Amino acid sequence: MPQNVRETILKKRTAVGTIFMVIVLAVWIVWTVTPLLITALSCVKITREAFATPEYGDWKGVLNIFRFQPTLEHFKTLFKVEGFGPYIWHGLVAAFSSSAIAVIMGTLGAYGLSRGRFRMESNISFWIISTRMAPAVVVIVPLYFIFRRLGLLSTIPGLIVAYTTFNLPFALWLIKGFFDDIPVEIEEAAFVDGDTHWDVFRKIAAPLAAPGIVAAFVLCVLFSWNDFLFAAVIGGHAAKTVPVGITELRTTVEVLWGPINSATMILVFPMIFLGILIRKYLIQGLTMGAVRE
Amino acid sequence: MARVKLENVWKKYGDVEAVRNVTLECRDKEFLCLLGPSGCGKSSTLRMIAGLEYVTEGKIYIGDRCVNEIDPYKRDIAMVFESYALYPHKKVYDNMAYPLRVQRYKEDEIKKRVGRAAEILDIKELLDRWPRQLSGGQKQRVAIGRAIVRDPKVFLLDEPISHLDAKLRTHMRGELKRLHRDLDATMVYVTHDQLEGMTMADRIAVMNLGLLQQVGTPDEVFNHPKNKFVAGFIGDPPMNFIGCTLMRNGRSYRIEHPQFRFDLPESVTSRFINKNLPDSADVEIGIRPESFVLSNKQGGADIAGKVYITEPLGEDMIIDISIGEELVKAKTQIGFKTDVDEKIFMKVKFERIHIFDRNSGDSLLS
Repeated sequence: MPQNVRETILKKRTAVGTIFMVIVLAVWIVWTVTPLLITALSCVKITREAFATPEYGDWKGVLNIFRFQPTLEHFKTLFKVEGFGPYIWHGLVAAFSSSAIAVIMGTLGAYGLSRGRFRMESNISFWIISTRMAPAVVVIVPLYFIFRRLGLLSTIPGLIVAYTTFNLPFALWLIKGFFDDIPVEIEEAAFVDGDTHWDVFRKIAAPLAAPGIVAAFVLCVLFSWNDFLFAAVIGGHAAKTVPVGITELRTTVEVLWGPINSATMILVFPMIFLGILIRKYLIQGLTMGAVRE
Repeated sequence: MARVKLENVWKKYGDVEAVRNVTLECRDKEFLCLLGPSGCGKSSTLRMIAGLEYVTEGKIYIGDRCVNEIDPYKRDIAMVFESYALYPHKKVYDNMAYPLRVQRYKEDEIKKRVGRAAEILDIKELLDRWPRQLSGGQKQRVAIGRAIVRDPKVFLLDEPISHLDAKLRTHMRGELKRLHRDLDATMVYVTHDQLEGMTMADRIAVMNLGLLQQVGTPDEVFNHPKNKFVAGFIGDPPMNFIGCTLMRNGRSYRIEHPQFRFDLPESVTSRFINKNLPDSADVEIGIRPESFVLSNKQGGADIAGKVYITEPLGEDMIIDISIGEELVKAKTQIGFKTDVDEKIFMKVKFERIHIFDRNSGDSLLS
């Protein structure tokens, strides 16, 4: 360190604290990244190499995990034999459409709840979020019967409706927080400048809540894309998604570990990408500085 | 430009009466200041003129048009907010261009007008910045710039300079007053700072507890306050009030207090609004700190007291004087020699004395 960069008491560091922090972070990284790394490496290995483990006590043998002939064999099996292509498509369509619907409706609803003043407002707000409090398993049986009666079982629209039911309250609450943070004066200024209420929402409020709207969208996509329960029960056969497809790689005869690993990477990778996106948006403090704090 | 007229306007939030029966007119091209302590209803009044709050009862006119049911965007007003309320996601230029874009002005006309406003306010070099990169004073200029780019009928300003530091505030008072003159605009200006009202306004409307207390020129509200509230609110340090008894003896009047008594001269008694005062009335006399003539000697003094503390202010000096139980502030030149607990004698400038009914607070003098 060229100079002493102590700024505030909040940034004070001690040697013990630093060591403790490094250890905790190291354990955490090993704990979370190792499984992902093994999966990522295994999906481009032939099965025999993937299962080659070193002798007990042979610490050098650990490095063998990086010695292999890369192969795309498992991906071929996945798409050519198991017919995985449509599952990805189903998952993407269901996730993106339900998230789009949830975020559009959620944004409108959130603005209304945030700005409107009406009777039972807090009760309505609580009721909306309370629909997310019970685990999905609780409602899956009644939903199954309702969807069967409506003819939505085993259809992609059915899956979209199911995801929207769960995504909407979540999106609404998340976005409402962002609208709540926008000072009302900014919108009032737009009113005085000549905007109609719709214009104020469209040109001022919604763009200022954009980080929240994008974050909500990404989280909704994540939830839908990773969902297993709804896809298995309501999506059924015709609207199978990646997580459901993965379980079917465990047959009565064998467990197709290679294709499972490949499918897992297909499942995880787009979401890691989205995760990086959301990080950027959540950190963005757009409203900072325009209104006196 | 246009006048703004309020007729028996009420604003109620549930049971709370924020504005009570206010009738007021801001004349064409006038700088009218709504002055009062926080919670007095001045901001609610302004927001009703802007159309941001609905009028509970009464009527508001801009020009000759009753605007009660007209949305803000059709009222042709411009407003500067206390918090500036710049659009954080737009650069300074786009902030100032916004009202023009909404009105679908052509881009080259917008450029011309924003340029001119930026020139008036001396913010040309800021046009390409984001609001978050500006200081408080700069944001405030941009907010004013956004208001003046188009020629609205009325400018509404809600404490626009109260968050600036003292030095900048003093500077901006002059700037705003000059701007009003240059634009030849009708302006309604809300503030809690009596100094802003006194220095800038053509007329001041003093409000308290939702009620309009007095409307008049700065000279009128300062020298002829209608009641104790106005008298006490305007002026710094504030007016001294001393509870006394007003004794009548035929045609002459006498002020009585346990510590002092003096006769009121003809010049004061001739100004009594009610010529038939009772023989004895509970009153409060109001004397501004500037209205005492201080002396170390007793000769001809109306009131005697003891120095409590002295507060030098560079040019002037405030002396806190205890008269029995009461404590009053008097202003004098810095050279006046005295010390704590010394006796001090005061002569009252009778042409500057105010007398208020102790129960109603109304001024007894015209």
